Amino acid sequence: MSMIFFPCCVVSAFGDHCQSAAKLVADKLGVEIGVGSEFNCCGYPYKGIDFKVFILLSGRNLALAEKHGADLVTNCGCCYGTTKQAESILKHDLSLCDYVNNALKREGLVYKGKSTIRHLVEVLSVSPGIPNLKARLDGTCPGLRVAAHYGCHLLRPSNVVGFDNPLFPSALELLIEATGAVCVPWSQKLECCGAPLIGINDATSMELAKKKLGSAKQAKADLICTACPCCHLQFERTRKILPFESLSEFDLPSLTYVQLIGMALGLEESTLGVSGIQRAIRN
Amino acid sequence: MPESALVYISLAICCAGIAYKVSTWFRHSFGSTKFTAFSRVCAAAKGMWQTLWSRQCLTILKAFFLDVLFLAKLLRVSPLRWTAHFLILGGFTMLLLMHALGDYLNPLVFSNYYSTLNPFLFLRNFFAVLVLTGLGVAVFNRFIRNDPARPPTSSMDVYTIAIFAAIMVSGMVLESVKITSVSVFRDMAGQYAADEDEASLKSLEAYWVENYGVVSPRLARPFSPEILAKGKLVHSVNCEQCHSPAQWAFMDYAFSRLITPVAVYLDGTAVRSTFHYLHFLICLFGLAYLPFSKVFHIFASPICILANAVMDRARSNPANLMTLQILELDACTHCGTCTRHCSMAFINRIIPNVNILPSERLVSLKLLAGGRELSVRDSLVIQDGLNLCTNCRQCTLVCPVGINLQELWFSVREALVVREIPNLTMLSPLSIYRGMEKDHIEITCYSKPISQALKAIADEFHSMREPKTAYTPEEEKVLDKAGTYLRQAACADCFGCMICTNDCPVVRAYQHPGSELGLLPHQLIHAVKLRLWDLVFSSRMLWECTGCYKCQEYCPMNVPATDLIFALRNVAISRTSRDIFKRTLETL
Repeated sequence: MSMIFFPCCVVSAFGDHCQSAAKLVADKLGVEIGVGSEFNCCGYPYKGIDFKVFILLSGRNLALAEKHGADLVTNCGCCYGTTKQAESILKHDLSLCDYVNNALKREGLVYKGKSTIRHLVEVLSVSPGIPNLKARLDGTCPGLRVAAHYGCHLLRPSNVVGFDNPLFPSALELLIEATGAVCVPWSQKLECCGAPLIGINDATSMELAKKKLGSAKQAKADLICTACPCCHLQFERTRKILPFESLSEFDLPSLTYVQLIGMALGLEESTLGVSGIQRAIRN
Repeated sequence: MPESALVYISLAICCAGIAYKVSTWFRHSFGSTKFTAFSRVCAAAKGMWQTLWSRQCLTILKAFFLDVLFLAKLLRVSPLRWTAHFLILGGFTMLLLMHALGDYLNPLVFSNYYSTLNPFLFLRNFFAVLVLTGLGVAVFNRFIRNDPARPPTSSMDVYTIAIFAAIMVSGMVLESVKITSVSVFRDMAGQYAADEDEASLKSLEAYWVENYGVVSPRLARPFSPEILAKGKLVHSVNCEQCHSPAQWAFMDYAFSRLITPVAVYLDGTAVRSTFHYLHFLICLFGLAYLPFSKVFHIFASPICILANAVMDRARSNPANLMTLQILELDACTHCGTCTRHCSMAFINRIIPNVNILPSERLVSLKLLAGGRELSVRDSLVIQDGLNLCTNCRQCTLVCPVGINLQELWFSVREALVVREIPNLTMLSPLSIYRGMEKDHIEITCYSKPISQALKAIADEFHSMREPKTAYTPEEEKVLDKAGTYLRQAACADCFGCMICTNDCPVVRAYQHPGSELGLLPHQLIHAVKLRLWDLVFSSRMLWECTGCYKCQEYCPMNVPATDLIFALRNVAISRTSRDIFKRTLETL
């Protein structure tokens, strides 16, 4: 099935380089992902506001993908988890599915459940696949110690997303290790980065991010590598506002896995949106 | 003389209107009194002067040629609309220069100017056809094409198209009537062929009836070859130098063929002078109305494009940014491109608040910026629509006149915060944008909306000690629907093992979670079981959950704890905002 890239709103506004990096890396690896412009928000922020809005938004995206005969591919964990959840709800609740299809009728769209959403981590793991990737990248990042961070919605609720083992996931580690880097074990790996609380309770949000940064630093990681660009944005934001005295304890750069793979592929760092400090890790 | 007086009056209205509009750019704001109008004028002058002598001048030049003259941004989003816009703009400008101002401008360029001579005769029609084609595309786009993504057409859009069409059509009818009119023919013959005798004039008339579409009541086809030959001779002596064949005015001529059967009647009535004045007056009306219509964008949009090419929040003077944002309201052409690409526009179908659509929200903002006292209800409606925005920046990227819409939403959101109407969507990840932009928000205002929203919800459910009144049947449904596997009964399976609480990252982020969060996750579930709604909805835990799904994942009894929290938020927000709206309406 062909694939269309699904952009994330937050990432489009604050970290568009992560999305362009994803496209560059996919291109370089020969993974064909089309571009669509008519998508709407995945519905993630509306889960807690209006359930119907969330289902309608996700339903429309899936129906659009279905119209193109393609699967959605996203780089963002929240978009992935949310759309997956909507998909599972629509599969189980036929009256809700009717409601969505009724709203979509005016645009000539219909959701029948033929299309799904896939995360780029999963896409890259299947094609080109880890062995191919390894053959292509091996040894480009030797000795780099990486703390792999999945992001909650990529893994949980596992009965809905079914992405990987929710307790011992390995998909992201395999991708990272294909570059020759080493993934370190760290206690806070499966915790939340705190991004959803930005703007609601900044103190708690920062506390959650700090815990993760501190834990990765204790594990002697050189950087945190995230599967979700929102988490990456949260870590970078937290680092920027850290008080001076806690820098030694918590200051750790982060990268998204596409940026890491992009660097390993020898892509221009400026096109990947990799900034100075992160570049320093490489050297 | 009264004609030229009318011209000067409408010109004066137009200039005064433009001056008024430009003054609003410096006087109006979204409720901020930080800068006086004078300081904003000074800041703008200073900014322009500095830009003029900096390297940014090149950026401005590039934007001028690419985006102002060539409309590259519009071409990118819609080649069809780009074509229509160019047809209208190009055709109308040429008509303005060559026809309306033709008597003044043409002699400067051409040595031998008569409006009845080619190329003027032909070009007038050619440009009119361009404008009419452009208008046709616009009408097709707006009214005929069934396009669900198009935002509603406002009366302003209709007026604009109607005025342009009226100018074109009245001109065309006037010219067609003149082509067929024998009295116009006789006037001109009297003027230019005064020396000819009656017989020659008659043969000339016959020649014009035969060849140039004049309809004469006294002469009818067929004419004898001798008369036509004589008419041709008279024509070549008296008319040919200053009058090209009427067929060159191809559109008017074609239309004049349609009215031939009634031409004699039309010539006798006041139709000609009616259309003459109609055409003239509509043009003048258009001129006077210009500053108050959306055609004013011909001034505002280029400035908006050029300013946005060199200005941004990081570098520019805040006074200038404020001025630019008010100018941007005038630069909007209500083309609807933003709404077409909006991440939330689709939702307008189930939430009937037009302020969800960026193009319509911008229209509402004109009210807000106008400084007119907005009713609480208006503010509430604008705020409700605005706060569903996901801030994905698509609108800003696609706007053909380069309005920085994202910035505009940001400023307005903060301006509305001051009005202290609780805004419950702030309790969702939609706040991430605000949080990321914290540095640009007044520190005293930053946490206000969150505390207001929390208080509104706590107040709403405070009195709800009586459990049975908790849910309406509608809300029960929402709770059941929020996740199909969310069964009320699932909560009953909870036996209080506290795995949810022990695994919750938020609980662990607090030193004294029990007192600081109100209810811990396992207590929250228990409170739901007991239907202690005031406890549930006033607990901070409900609003601090990050939705990481750890509790739900690790629960040994499969209690869908995270989905339960989302469902509870649904109920709290829908009920509280409904009551806020009701209360607001009552206070009116």
